[in-house]
Amino acid sequence: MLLLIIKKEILAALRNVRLQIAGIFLIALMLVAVLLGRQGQQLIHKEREKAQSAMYDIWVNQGMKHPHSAAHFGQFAFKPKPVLSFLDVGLDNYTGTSVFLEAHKQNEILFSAAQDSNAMIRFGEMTMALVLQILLPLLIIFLTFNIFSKEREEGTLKLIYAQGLSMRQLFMAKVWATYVMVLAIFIPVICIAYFLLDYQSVSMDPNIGLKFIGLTITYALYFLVFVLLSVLISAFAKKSSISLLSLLGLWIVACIILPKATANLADKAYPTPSQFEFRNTIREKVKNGIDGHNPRDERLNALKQKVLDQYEVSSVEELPVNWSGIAMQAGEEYTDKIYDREFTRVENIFKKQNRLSEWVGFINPYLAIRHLSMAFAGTDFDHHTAFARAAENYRRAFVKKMNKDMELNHTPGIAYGDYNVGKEMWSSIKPFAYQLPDLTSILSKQWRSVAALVTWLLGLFFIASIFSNSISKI
Amino acid sequence: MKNLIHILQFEWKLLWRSNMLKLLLVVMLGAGVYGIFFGKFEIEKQNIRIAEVKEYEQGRFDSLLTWANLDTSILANKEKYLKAVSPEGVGWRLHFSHCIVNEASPTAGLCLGQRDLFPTYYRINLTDLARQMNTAELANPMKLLTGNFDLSYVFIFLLPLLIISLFFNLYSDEKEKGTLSLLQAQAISLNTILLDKGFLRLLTVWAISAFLLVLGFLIQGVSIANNADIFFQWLLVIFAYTLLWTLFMAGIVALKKGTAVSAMLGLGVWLITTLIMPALLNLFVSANEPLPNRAEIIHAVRAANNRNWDSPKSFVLEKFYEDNPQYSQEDTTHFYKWYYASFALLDKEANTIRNDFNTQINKRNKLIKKWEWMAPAAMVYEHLSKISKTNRESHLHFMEATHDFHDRLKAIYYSKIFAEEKFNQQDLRVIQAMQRY
Amino acid sequence: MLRTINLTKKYGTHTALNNLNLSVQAGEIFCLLGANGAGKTTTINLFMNFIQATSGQVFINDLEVAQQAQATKKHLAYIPENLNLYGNLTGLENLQFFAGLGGEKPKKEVASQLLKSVGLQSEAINKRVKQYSKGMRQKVGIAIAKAKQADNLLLDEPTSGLDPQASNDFAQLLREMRENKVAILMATHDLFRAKETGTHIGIMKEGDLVHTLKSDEIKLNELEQLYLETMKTESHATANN
Repeated sequence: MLLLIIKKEILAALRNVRLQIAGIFLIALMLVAVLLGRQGQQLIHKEREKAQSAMYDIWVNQGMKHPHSAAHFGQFAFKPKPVLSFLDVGLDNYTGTSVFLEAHKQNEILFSAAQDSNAMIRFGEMTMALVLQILLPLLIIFLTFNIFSKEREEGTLKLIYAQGLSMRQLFMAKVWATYVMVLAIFIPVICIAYFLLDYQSVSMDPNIGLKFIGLTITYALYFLVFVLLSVLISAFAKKSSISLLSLLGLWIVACIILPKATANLADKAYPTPSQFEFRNTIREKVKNGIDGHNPRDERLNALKQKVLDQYEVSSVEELPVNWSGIAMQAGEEYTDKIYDREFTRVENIFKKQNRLSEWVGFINPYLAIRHLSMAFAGTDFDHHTAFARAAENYRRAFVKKMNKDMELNHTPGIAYGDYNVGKEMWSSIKPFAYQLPDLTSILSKQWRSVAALVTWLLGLFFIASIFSNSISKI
Repeated sequence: MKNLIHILQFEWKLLWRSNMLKLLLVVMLGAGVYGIFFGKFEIEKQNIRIAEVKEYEQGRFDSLLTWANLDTSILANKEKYLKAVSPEGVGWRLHFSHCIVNEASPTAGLCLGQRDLFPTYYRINLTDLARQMNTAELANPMKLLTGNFDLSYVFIFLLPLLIISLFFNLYSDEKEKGTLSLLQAQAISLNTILLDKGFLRLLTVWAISAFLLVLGFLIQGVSIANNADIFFQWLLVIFAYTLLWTLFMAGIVALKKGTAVSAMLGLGVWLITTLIMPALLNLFVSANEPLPNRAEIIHAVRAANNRNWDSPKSFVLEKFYEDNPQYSQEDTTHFYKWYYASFALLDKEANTIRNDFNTQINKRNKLIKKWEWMAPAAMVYEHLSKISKTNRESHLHFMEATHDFHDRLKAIYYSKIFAEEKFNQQDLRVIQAMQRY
Repeated sequence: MLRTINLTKKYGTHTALNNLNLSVQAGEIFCLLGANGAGKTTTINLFMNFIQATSGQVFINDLEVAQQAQATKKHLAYIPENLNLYGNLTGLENLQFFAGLGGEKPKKEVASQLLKSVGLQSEAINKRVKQYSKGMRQKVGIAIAKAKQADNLLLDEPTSGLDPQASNDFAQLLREMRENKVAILMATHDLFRAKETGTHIGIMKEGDLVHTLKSDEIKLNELEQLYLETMKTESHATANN
């Protein structure tokens, strides 16, 4: 009996020309998004890989130099384009793409695509995620808005009821019928996307298969939430027009208005500090000490005394090691400590801002899927900071190595310009290789959005099971 | 004319008595007022940040002027005085920075545009400009992606939805509610009646958009009288945009489809013009036209710097004198002359690459411009941000101004450094006056 | 004056109206009887120019409808089967609105006098129409027709769904309009009303006007007999063809 109803619903929808057109349009749009998206992802990935290795070659072949000059000459870190980013471009157009790594200085990750594009970029980039998050729910609305009211208006609902089917059974049948149709659009395209995965770059992206499955499952859950919600509203709306208008209204609020308002409010709730303040604080603290009572000169003197004591000599000249190397590394580490504190402070403010919209996922499932999808695709804020930290750690490691070499091998008394090292030293620094966070780390950061989706699902099933028998038959 | 007024009069009664219009107006007004206040908040935040920097920079310059005024007969003052008036000292040991600010235009708060993507000020010193301009304001990329809920957003995204909901059942409602046949029995043609009804709706949309615009100017404290040209440009763009949407809807109404179909058609046009087309264009461009690797500028500068330091001083100075004969006294050994001349070479190197990049990016953006007509919403956004000077071009102008500022600074400093002279009070005041704050 | 000459309407091969010649003079009420699909509403729709004739002509006061559709509307009032008005306007406002379309908007006092004259209770006049019964709406419809002072009136099943009292009131109003020299064409199912109200009666079957008679020349039971027999022969004739 239930199968019969499901079959009838699907047949009715398949014979509806308007739904046919809408379905084909969505599939075509997703195919374009996936194919072009992959092309773009490959293009950018290859460019950055090329740039990264070209810059490394320049580093290795920089010639004979003092190690500290080399640290000043510096290196570059290019942000790799995540394999799954062709499914959800996420923040990628708004975050910087490369960072210059040099001694003494934490540079910003610069050059976002948005800065080089005109206003059009603010309207978003077509990806599978955009279709699945925003357009597919609209198709669900058109599939379901009159799924009950039409039968009620035509009187067939009474006939079905007279055949002995409970309203709850009918409700679930209609839900599953719609869901099967949605999956029939979703699954073939996501399978195509799977075969397009760039396996050559998988090395930088651990658990790629699992992430892909996670992405697929979360979307499947999101669709079920939307199907349940629309069939529920359709079941309790008095007329088709009322259910259509309220569903469209909900869609506009959830997918268009609320996300913007949430992000804007978050910025007001947790104000972002200014770059000026950020840099000034770091400079001030480096100068006067973290607590403000430990100025640079005193720190340096204390360190000098410590080193002199350690080697049991009375002046810098007598030291068997290079004092400048030690002092430089100490200064580096002190700046790092302050930078980490300030960077984490700003990062936490941004995280709080983002968390607000993750919590709003409990009110608006669109926000939950948006965060999850970006996280699985590797294009969310956490991935950006993971890259920032990896690049900064790489910087610290090679600068430290340069300083260490200076400390141990640059014999005191020899002029700066007379101590030079070469290729062997440079190539002892491995090229920058960044691995994206793994699945566990993603899930541990995204539990709010997962919880929001699951809550929505359970809540809607609960409401449906309680109220579906009281759906009006006339 | 008499008929028009008659129909408008009764149509207004009908519209006003339907709760739909009231609900839509409340939503529109609510969104509009929220957008206005949000824009005001954002632009105030930017202004506060600018003011902070200005105050800091002004304080620094004032102390510089004080040092330049010190009585040098007191030994303790001598060092400070010299720091203030030595062009190489001001430039080097302190790397004294000069500030240039991109002030917000009066209506920037109504259309925040691309301004949130770029720094609103640069603090630059005499060293090479390329590396100094590589800064960014701290911003949550999530917020940049989501965009700003300002008045322009309300006009571009939400106003069309208002138009759709006012127009979609213009014909079908009469038909489905059964008043159509009685209208057809009257001495005025149905088309005239529908046109008049549509006209009233357009007037309503114009009234509410004009009202919101006036409200925006008032709440953000922008004088309409002093900015009449900006106000009317805004009004013109919005009226044209709403007219375009009215025409879209007129086309849909002319198909004489039912309520549900008309609503879906209207929403479909909205989706295609404001969401799908722009997104497809962006995808197409990003998949086919890669952006230049801007890190190359930094690399070119560091490589040139490396070369400058590895070569004898004459290498830099000879090249510099060739480009700037006005400074040439054939002195190829002076440290400061060499030091500052080398930055001029770095700037030259960086500018060549910058121009290449700009050509590449312009080509990319031209491709988008060529297809922009397919996404009228993006066109309107571009226009409004242009009027409000918050578009990318405005920032490019500011960058040009910064380059120009840097060149003028160099001219003053270089004329002193190469003549081996000190700054006098007058010179410092000229420099202070040049800073835009 | 309402007139048709050799009026035919075909939908593909199906003939909805066949060679109709009809004339309604000022001061006459012509009632069209017939089963569903006999061509009554098609006739009315052709007068209204809602549809176009396949051949033949339709005249309203010597203006040909197909040529001067808009001009004929000045001389024409119309009450459809389901008279729907704007629910959010009051009866008075609906009257003012419709009467003002192309004509002179009646003053408030004139309009409310008119509504009272068609029997609308005065407390209902300023209530919104969505609270009206069908009978009340029909009365507003008559008032609109009267306000227009048109000399022709077309009615499509105006009394279906009315209770006997409302139906009687309605017939009374039609008689008053007849006395004011209005030509009235009414499609109806109601033999009794047709006999009572009409001056002339036409019986239609399958697009043909089979009988035309004056109502004072026939008794009600004879009319019923004739009607039923027409229907019967019709089906018989169809079977033979």
